Amino acid sequence: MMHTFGVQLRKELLELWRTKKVIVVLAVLVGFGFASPILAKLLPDMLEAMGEDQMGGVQIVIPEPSTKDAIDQFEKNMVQFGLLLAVLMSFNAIVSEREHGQAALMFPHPLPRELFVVAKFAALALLFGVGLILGAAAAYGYTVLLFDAPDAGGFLALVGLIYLWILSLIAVSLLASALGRTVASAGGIAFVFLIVFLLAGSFTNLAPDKITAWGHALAINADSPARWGALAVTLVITAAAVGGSAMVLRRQEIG
Amino acid sequence: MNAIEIQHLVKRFGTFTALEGFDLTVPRGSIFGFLGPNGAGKTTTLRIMTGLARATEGRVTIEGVEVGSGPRPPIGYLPDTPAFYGWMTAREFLRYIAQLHRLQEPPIDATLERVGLADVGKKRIGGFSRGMKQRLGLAQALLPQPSVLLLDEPVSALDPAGRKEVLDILQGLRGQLTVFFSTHILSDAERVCDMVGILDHGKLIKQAALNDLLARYARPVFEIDVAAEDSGALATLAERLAGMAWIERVRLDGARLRLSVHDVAVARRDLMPMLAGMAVIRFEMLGATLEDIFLRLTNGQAIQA
Repeated sequence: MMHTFGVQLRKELLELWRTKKVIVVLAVLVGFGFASPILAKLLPDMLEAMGEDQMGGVQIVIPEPSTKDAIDQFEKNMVQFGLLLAVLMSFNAIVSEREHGQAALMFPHPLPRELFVVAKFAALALLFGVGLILGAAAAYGYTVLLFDAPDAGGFLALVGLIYLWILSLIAVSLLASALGRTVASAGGIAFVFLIVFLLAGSFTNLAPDKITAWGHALAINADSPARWGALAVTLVITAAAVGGSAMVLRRQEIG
Repeated sequence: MNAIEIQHLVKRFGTFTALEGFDLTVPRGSIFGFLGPNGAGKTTTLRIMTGLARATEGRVTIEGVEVGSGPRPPIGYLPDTPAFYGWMTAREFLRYIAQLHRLQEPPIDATLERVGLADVGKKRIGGFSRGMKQRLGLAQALLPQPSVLLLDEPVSALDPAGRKEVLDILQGLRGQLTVFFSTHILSDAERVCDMVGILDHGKLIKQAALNDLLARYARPVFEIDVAAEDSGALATLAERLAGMAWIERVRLDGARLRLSVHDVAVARRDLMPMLAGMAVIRFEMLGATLEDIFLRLTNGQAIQA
């Protein structure tokens, strides 16, 4: 089992590399990691440079940017672009192999469908993990250079919670990919899942996106209730979506 | 000992019944041609045999292993249009397959050589022609050295030279493993098969050794070619012949007339005089072919490409 998983994971990682998905994910996450503290630092100057004329005579007083602004930028960028990348990289991962015929060629070989799904999840999890670590390192480094050093423990917690949020998005997008009959329908299902995911945050503190807000509060040492419930829900959704994808694929007829 | 045993195989898609419950056995070491027109249920049968689809009723056993029961039967499979990872090279893909099968020293070079892809092993599959993909598909099916090779229309995408090469490979496998392949190209089946099964509308209408089938259904067939300018006269003759008692079936294809006859003696005596005035290029009496047998068994339904 482990041997086959290793073979399949290697294949998935090689595919991410050869199809340039590694470059896209790393470029975006590392790029925004670098850019977040720089944007926080330069934003007041940029607004000032626009001049009062362009602002319609309105004078805006912007306080001196701080570490908190850098962390705000980092959290906002990683959550937004992480979400976008996670869905785009995952929603067609299974359905395209089924639709284009690779699955019909591969499944008669000794490749359990569960491992096929888990290897895809693991490869994407690795890629986003590396991207987020590099992006976070860049953001932390520039924040230290431009502002005061953030609390390392809180910042680590923020990165970890953003990572878990991204993993849950990858998992539900893979489920959409397993459920969809075509790439287009899988995209539609992923979109519906995403809307439900995001709307849930307006109704309950158990929604997965509450963990990124919790991480943000931890990183800036703000008073905010712990969201252990949301964390548990996020982990359960992730595991259930990966397991569900494997189960759906196992029951499907291929070809 | 049979390599493949199919018992009462039924497959329904909603209200449509694709396979109507047939039995079939394939002796170990034989090359079995699974024939039938498009939509007969050949691919559905193969998908069930490979575990890609599930039977509604019945069961398939390959080398003693029941398909879908848990253990994987020792099969190699080539789908009708094999799809690969275009970003891999042919050699990388075969290495990946070898790793999945835990082959210690996989004969990758020898397999590429065998299917005529030795010189493109390091090229990306994305740039391969359809024929090259078909050969690579055969290579990935052969690499794990399976006991049973299941092939869905393995030569339909190939040019005549490619078809010959693949059929030669299949012939070379005779006795080494069991080959089960579906095809609508009857001449290919006739060339390499020991046994055939004919499927029509989800029913197996015949299973027999090829030689027995040819002997049993042998009916003399005459084929006449005339010069193109006489094709009109040949068409008139075809209409006349269609009503004659000693004629079984008439098929006209431009300047070629193919006749299946009940009475050879009458045909030999009467046919030649009827051609007087036409520029006859060829007049030949043929034995029955698998195509003739197939058409008779399927009530004249033509096989479409």
